[in-house]
Amino acid sequence: MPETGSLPQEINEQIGAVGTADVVIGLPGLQSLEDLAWAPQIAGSGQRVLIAYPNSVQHLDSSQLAGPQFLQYEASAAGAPASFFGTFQEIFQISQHVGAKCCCVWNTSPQRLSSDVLDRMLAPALSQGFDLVFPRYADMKFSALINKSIIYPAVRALYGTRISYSMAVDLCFSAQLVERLMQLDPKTRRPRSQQWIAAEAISGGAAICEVNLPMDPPRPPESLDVSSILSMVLGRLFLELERNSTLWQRSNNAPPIPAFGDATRIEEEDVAVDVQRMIETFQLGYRNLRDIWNLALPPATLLDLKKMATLSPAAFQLPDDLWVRIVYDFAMAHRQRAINREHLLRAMTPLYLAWVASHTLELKDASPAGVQSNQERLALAYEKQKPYLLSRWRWPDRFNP
Amino acid sequence: MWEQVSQALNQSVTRVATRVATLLPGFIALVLALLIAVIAAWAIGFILRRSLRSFDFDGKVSAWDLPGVRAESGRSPTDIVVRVVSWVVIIMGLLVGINAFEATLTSQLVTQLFAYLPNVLAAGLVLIIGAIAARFFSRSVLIGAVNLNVQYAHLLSVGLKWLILVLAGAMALNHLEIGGKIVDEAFAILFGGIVLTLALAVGLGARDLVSRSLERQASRMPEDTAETLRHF
Repeated sequence: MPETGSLPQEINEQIGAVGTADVVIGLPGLQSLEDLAWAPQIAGSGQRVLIAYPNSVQHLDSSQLAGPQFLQYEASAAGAPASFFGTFQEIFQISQHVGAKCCCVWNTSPQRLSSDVLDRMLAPALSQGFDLVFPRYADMKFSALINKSIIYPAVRALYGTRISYSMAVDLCFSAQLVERLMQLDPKTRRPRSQQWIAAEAISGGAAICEVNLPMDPPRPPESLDVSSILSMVLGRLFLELERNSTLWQRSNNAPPIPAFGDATRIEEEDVAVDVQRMIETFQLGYRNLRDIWNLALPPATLLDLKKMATLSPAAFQLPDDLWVRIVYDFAMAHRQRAINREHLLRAMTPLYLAWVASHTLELKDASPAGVQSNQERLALAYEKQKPYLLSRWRWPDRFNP
Repeated sequence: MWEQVSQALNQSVTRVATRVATLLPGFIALVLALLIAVIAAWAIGFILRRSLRSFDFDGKVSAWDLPGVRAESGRSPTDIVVRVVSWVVIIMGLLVGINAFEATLTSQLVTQLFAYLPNVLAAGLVLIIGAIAARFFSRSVLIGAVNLNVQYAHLLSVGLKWLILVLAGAMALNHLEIGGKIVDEAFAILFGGIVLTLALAVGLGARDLVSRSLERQASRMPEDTAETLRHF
């Protein structure tokens, strides 16, 4: 049995009582016993399952739930960004100590879990040799918009990997990947598990797949507004671009990664979206934030934005190429620390809302095929503009906004 | 008669020559002290710049993410430190040179200057911190207000910026012991005046506007983008 030195004594004793397990399921977001209705069914799969949950939850009487074993661990206090991007470190430690073949960490609400979902997520890692399993949630026309507008197409264009939800926090890992993620990154001197898991897996050459899940994408905490979410997500994306610059500068377009299960789609109710307000915010941003945008954007882009600011709501449109250049220019400004990074990222909110308004107007009456082709067109625009980012990244002094 | 004139002239020339002879060593000492100080400042600056670069001082300061050291001043942190140290050395040399005159007046002047120097440094520091804080917080307010679609975002931002600058200016003057109680009283009157003006403007002039604005915000809240659009 592996050594158990780095965990508190009490948890070491509990692990000693558990012995070994094939699968560890970590539930950092567990609130009550009722959320574990699926637990007895998961134990019928023939695997020895250990469910780990934080000590902030009242101790569970596991005798009420036949099947899996339970372990309460000491959760470290996590700030807003850490809890938003999920916590993995403690679950990985436990997984290593019990010698698990596979580890699943479900950071969002366990109420959304079922034995079927867990089986789907665990199968590729347990029996098909995949190192990292991402969830692919049901597609919705007006959901996960930051993912659709920036994360998915940027990761696809830059890293050459098509992961639908690369910032998902409900993931399954092989023992090998857990071992790698437990190591310290020599550049940042932080455990790799505290960085962006997707970038770590891509740079480490891990075998990645997706599993289609019949559920909508998880909702972010209500306390976070668009600006805060955008700032956190872009901050992570841009920091990783800096850290992995040699990797993404060499990577080429790659075919889609393996996906298991049938893709699902949820039709949203036909409710009118307040596009006018988003356009107003963009126009207000153009009037007031030009000094900040000037530090990141070239004159040609500012001229295009000036024209956009005068458009009527009916004619409002943000072209894909312009949007992609804006994202790449902000990535460069973030790298060059043109201004305080938090200010820079938050100053992008009106531009993002302009994209959302344009996207909403375009897809208001679109069919699922139309939505799909729109996403593909945007992803191709990111790929087409990659040389622009490359040239700015390699020769930053040639460009002075 | 001519003898007396000649004697008076001789005495006068002697007095001037003696005076010049007395002052000359002091003046040469001043020039020498200044020259040595400039050379020392250059040498110290050169060594300091190399040392700071050798352990990536700019990179480390960037990693601390101080609110716009480079963006606000247009210079790298290394340049700023080297310049400050060089100027301190030159000013020290100048003071040593002035002291070399050995005149009572200059000695007193130097003593008083040295006694006053901490006040000047503290005032300068307060002004620099005030300027950086004013810029940082006004930008934060501007971006936050624009993202909340507040139409008077610019006004809020400028108001906050000047409030912090006035506060920093009053604190700096207090450190310099200029104006005495007048600065405190003027600041209290100014600050109180601004607050009273805003209160009167909102309470009397813009009461309806504020209530309409709040009603509009409240009516937008429930069905805004939260339910129909999901950003993440």
